[in-house]
Amino acid sequence: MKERDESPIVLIVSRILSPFIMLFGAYVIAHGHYSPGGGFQGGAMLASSVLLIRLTAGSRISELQFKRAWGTPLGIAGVSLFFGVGLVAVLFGGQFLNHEFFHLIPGVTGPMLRSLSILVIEVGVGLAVMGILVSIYDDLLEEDERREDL
Amino acid sequence: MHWELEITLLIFGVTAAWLSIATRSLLTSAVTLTVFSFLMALSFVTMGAIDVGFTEAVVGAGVTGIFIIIAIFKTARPSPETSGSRFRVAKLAVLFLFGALLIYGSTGLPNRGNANTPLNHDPSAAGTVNAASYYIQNAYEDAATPNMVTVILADYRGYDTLGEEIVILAAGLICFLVLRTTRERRERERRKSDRFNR
Repeated sequence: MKERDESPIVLIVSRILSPFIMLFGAYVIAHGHYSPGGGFQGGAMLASSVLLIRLTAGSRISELQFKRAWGTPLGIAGVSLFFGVGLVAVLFGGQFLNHEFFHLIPGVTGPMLRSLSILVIEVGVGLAVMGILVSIYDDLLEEDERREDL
Repeated sequence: MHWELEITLLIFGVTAAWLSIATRSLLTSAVTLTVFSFLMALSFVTMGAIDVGFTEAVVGAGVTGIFIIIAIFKTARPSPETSGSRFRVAKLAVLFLFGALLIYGSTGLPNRGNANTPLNHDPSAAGTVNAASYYIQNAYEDAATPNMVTVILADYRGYDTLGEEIVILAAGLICFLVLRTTRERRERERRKSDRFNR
C-alpha cells in the first residue's frame, strides 16, 4: 500500500477477530458434511483471517504467523491431496475418484468410506484455496514489501 | 415465497450496483461492489441455495474486495473525465433494448421449483434416470453424509471439483510467475538504477 497508518484500534480489533475467523474456517471445513459450507468456503475464511493480519499489522509481523514462501507449496499440497485420493482408488482397483475403493482405513467400507474420503478431499480443497489466496496477495504486494526491507 | 424480502434485497442490490458505477472514487465503488456481493449472497439464501450464498459472502464480499483495493492502489489512476457524451441517446437506446430482450427471454423460463419442467421429470426425456432426483433420493444412502451439496461436489462430481482446484492453482501459479521477480532480475534492476544515479 501507499502508506500505512498505524492505528491501534484497527490492530487490536483485527488481532482479536482473526483467531475466531480462523477457528470458524476450520469448523466450516470439518463440518461440511452436516451444514452448509465445505472446503472452498472454509479455505477462503482461513485465508481472509491471515490477510486481515497482513493488511493491518504489515508483512513483517504477519510472517511470524504465515510465511510468504508457504502459500504456493500449501496450494500444491492441497491439490496433490485431492489427486492422491483419486489415485488411491486406482491403486485398490477402482476408477479414479471412486471413493468406494479408498481402502486406507481397515474395517470401514461402503458409505462410511465415501464419507471419510469426502472429508479428506475437503481438507485438501481448503488447504489449496487458503494457500493460493494468500500467495496471490503476497505476489501482488511483493514489490512494496521488498522496498520496505531495503 | 418471501417476496417482500427478495424485493427489498433486490432494491438495495440495484442501488449498490448503480452507486458503484456512478461514483467518481474507485475506492467507493470497490466498497459498494462488496456490498452488492453481500446482498446477492443474502438473496441466494432466500432462494434456498445456502452453500452458494455462503461462497458468495466469503469470496465476493471478503477476499475479492481486498484484491480490488490492492489493484487500485498498485495501478496509476487517471483522473476521471467526463467523456463519451457523444452518442448518449444511441447508447441508452441500445441498453434499454438489451434489457428488454433479457426481460422478454426471462418470461420463457419456468418458475423456480416447478415440478412439471423437463428438468425435473423422472425419468428424463431420454428415458434415463434424472440426475437431480437420483442425487436427492440416494445421496444419504450412498455416502452417509446429510449435506447433499457436499456429496455432489466431492463424490458424484469429484472430477469437476478437481478441475476447479486445478484452475485455482493455475491462477495462483500465473500470479507467482508473472509478479514475483527473480533474484537476477532484481540485481539487474539495482545495477541499472545505480548507473542511472551516477
